[in-house]
Amino acid sequence: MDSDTVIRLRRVVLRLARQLNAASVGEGLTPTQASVLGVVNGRGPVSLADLAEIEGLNPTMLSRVVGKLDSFGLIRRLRDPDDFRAARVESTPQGRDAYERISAQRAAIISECVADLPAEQADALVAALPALENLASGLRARRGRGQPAGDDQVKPA
Amino acid sequence: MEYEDSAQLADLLQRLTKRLRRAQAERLAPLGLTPAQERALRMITRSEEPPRMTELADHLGIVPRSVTTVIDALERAGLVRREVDPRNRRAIRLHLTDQGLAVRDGMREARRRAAEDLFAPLSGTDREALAKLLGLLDRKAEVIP
Repeated sequence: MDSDTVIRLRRVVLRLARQLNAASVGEGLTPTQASVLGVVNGRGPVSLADLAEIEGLNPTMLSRVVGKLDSFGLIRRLRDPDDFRAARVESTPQGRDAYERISAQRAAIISECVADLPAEQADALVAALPALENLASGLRARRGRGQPAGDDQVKPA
Repeated sequence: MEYEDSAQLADLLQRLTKRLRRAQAERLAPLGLTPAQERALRMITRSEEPPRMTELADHLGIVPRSVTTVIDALERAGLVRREVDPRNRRAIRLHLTDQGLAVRDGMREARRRAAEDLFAPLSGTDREALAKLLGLLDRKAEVIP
């Protein structure tokens, strides 16, 4: 595999993600807090064990993040009186509003970057979304599995 | 690009980053470092001259007392060495030992492999095209010749 390209890809994905972090800072949240809020928001009531797994956070770190979000009034804990470990969290209306603003801000950051591109390259980016979706979901490329090639391929810039 | 596309791209970049970080954490696990130790090693590696403890604390956003704990552990493991700054006898600077340099290389390799795993589903041509496209999006990126 061409290491150089992979390293460039890694670097550019991390750099872009870092620029998107500005959106969470605007809400007074760290990127990790915003990310956890996003998962709680998207999944509805979710157990701390699942949350730790999804976010790849250790329990100590997660409980700190959850404690913060709780104290900001963005999520609330649902305790199961019979089973302490089954503790789950869900977002509050304020939490949903805050996350919506963060998402909109992220989209705005991307729109602003895309606005500087020629239409052809902006189109190529839109065309690359299915391929990126596959990568983000951990799916193998559909190419070579009896599916017509093309719709999840990346067009050259 | 429509608003939904921008929102989707933003979401995808975040999810890709999360996958990448998890893959890196798995690849880095055999090195036996805590996340704080990893960050400290990376910062020492990247800084232009061997950093002082206070600089490391500032950079990592933790109190000096916590840095001491992290550096003590790295020194015990033989990866980092404290040395008096010859230009300022009151300052201690942190150096990587040969073993520390080897671990740094191991960390680089782990990060590279995690990225290779993540992007493996794409053909070489697609990876090249994607790197170029995303590079255009990153306006603060250095120009790659």
